[in-house]
Amino acid sequence: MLKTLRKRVTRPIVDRVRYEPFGGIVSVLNPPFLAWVTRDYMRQLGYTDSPLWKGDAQDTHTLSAPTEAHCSLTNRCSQHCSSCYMGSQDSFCNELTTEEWKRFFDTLRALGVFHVALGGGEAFLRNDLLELVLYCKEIGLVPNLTTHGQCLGEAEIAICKEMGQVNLSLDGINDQYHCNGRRGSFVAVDKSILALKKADVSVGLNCVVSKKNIDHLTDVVEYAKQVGLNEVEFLKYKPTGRGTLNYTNYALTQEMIRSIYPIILELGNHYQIMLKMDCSFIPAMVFHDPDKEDLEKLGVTGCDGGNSLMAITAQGYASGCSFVAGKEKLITINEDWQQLSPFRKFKEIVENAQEPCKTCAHLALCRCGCRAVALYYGGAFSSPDPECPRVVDYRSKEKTI
Amino acid sequence: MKKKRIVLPKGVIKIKPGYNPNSSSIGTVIYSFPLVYIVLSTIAALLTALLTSKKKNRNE
Repeated sequence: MLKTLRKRVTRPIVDRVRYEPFGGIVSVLNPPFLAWVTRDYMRQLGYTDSPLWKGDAQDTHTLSAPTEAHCSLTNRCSQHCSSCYMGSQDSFCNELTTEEWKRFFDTLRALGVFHVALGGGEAFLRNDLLELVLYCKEIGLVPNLTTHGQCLGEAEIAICKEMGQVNLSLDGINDQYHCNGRRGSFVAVDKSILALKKADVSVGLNCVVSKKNIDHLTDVVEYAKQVGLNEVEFLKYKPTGRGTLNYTNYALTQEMIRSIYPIILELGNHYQIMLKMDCSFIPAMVFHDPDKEDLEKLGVTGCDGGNSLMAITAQGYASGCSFVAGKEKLITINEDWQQLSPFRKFKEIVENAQEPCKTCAHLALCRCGCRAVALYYGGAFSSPDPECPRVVDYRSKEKTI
Repeated sequence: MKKKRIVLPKGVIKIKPGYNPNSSSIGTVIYSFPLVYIVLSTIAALLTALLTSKKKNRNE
């Protein structure tokens, strides 16, 4: 990222701009970023006033459309990892066809979505992946990809070159590779990473954090730094798909959840590599009261399903997030998308918040923590994330009273 | 080294650097210093340059 920035310090070329009630979102591809800007900034860029600007400009969170969509292109995966959050194995019999995916991408483009994150299962097991990727680019969506990276040959590397960024799943180095029940081998991933780097593909890692590898995160970051990766994203081990089996064996303890943000911050400061925490870790982050203004400027947000994010399964079931199963097939969306039931429940999280979230200073940002975790413990859709340290403290105080 | 406060140009509310290839959840950049500060400052400078060049074009 820094290398790309150094190359382009003069004037960015705006790829696309989308009007929003507060102003707009500016998308730049090289270096890649999205910027939320005010109405005045939009006017100074030369954009005329939008009908969306009739009302109040105070709410800079609620968007007119997602900025990104997560697409599970197939349920098929050769790895059958014991902790797969999607429970991937074989293709579903009614997976979307090439033409149906293209129609869905058209819908996303019409809504104003900027980026798509393609995954599976294993997306490379679809024969039409290249066609879909090129179609996304043709209509102005930036395709990005997550892969297990076990079998990237020349053809796969060529497809990766079309992506904005490719992330490979890696929870540990060498013997630690299998710590979360992942199948395959570190050697294969390492080989793929080197090949991708050689082809000048922007590469990052997705590292699922559980009690099995929390003490080994340094090795992953050190490796990423060594091979010159763009970033490492830390994802909380979640109780969905096959991840629900033996969840307690993998789930972070309360002590670990409370320590994860300082650990990752320290790794970032030490190794000077871009590190990310996924949205389910936001309760663990805000527990440490980081500077609120800095968080807002970086667009830090907890559950943003049904707002900046939408997800769709291989069969076309839409949801606000990949971890919360959708039940409605939505390939074309012709109405106010946030009012559609798969997304509306996400939108209503804050207004339906229960204590202690209801009066928490971080409610607007954290948005009650991870829905997948809350639902796993049997809570209502807007119930507090039971693994949030503040929720744990509140409930233990309530018990003593 | 003392961590510096992120400063964005007037009219810029927030910045999300990079892409999110992770197809399961949204990642948030951790404000580790100074790398993230440099990245954001550079993007902020680019956004300022963008406006300046627009104004310049209009004046020409």
